[in-house]
Amino acid sequence: MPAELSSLPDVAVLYQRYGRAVHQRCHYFLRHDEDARDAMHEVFLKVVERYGEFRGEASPLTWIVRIATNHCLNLLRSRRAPWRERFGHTATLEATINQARSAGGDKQTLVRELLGHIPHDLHEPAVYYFVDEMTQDEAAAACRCSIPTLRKRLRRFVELARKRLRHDDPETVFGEVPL
Amino acid sequence: MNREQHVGRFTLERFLADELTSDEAHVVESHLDSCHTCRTARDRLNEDHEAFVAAVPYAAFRIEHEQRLSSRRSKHRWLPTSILAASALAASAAMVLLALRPPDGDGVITRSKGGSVALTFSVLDNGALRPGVSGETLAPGTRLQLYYDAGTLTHMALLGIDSTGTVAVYFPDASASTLGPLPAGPTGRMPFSLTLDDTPGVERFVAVFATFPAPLGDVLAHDYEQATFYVEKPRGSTGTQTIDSAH
Repeated sequence: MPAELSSLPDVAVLYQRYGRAVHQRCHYFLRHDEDARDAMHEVFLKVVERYGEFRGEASPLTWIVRIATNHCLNLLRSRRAPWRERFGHTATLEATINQARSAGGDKQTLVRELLGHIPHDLHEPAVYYFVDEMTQDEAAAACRCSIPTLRKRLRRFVELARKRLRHDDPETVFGEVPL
Repeated sequence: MNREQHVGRFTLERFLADELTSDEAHVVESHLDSCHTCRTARDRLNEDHEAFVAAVPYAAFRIEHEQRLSSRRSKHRWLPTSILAASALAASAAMVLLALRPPDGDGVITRSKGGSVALTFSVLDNGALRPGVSGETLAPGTRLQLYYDAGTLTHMALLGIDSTGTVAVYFPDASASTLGPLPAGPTGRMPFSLTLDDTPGVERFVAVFATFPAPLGDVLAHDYEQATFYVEKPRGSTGTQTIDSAH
């Protein structure tokens, strides 16, 4: 039987089962150990606070990762100018991406580098689909949108990525774009 | 990784979190038996999990979790104990809180003590973090981690005042002349820890919050009459504080 969330929050179980995933998600966005650990704590506080709101419409992991993703994205957005600096640094975006790729960076790195240069409504779909490798159903549930809307946002993301990457076909990086 | 040929990363995560149905899990297990790439991905996630548990064991996580939970629930908890601790004869680490409002038309800054702000701390004790108690006696070399709750206020400074009246500015930094923006949102952990040195005497930690970058000189001149100079400390380093057992 698949694991489900109990009626009351058991922090020990939540931490054992989801702590690493939450921490990795926070570290993916914030890229700093202390920031990631701080964000992880805040995410678990939110999980406990919102525990009663979970209705099982998505898997527990989907729900918790969504809280972590939104927490980190909101954190970065609230920093305004540093938000773009964090993802664009001082070099041009293309140079940063090329550097990431030549250093063995994968699409997770590329998505992160692109996040500062695309509209906010594309952030979650791109992360869930290309970084987490969720299925379309899972990503749509995480984004709380329909599958057609998800596909539309993913196509838009790849279109913007194409403009940024210029010399490379983003589909060779991100794989198939759902029609 | 081709989605059709391999198990997606998220599905692997759900598999390891025991969230898949028995049929779904069976499909994943069968695939893992025959796919080296996916087995490697699974093994890496397991290794990451072991490393994470070693780096942030549940016991340490739980202490800080409870600390933050308590800080959110009880914003006034520290004020009474910190006032009592400040008057105690035994050496202590005492917390004092101030909230400042912008100057009015006559340039007067309104001050109020405590209210909706909080400053708490944890003690690194035998390798484990535990909640600190305002007024407790701590040995030299003890390491403290401080947490704050600024309520609706947006700027803060963290000061240390030793028994001689020497003031050290720990946040924003030793050379700061005004309160700085909150380091980690409305509630959070100070971005450094403090290690206690062996200088005897009572040590007070003072957190000052405001809705604006209030001048530190003004705060010190009006509120800490015996403070005459700052102790210089490099930015980002762990500070030192003095505390001692009973005289």
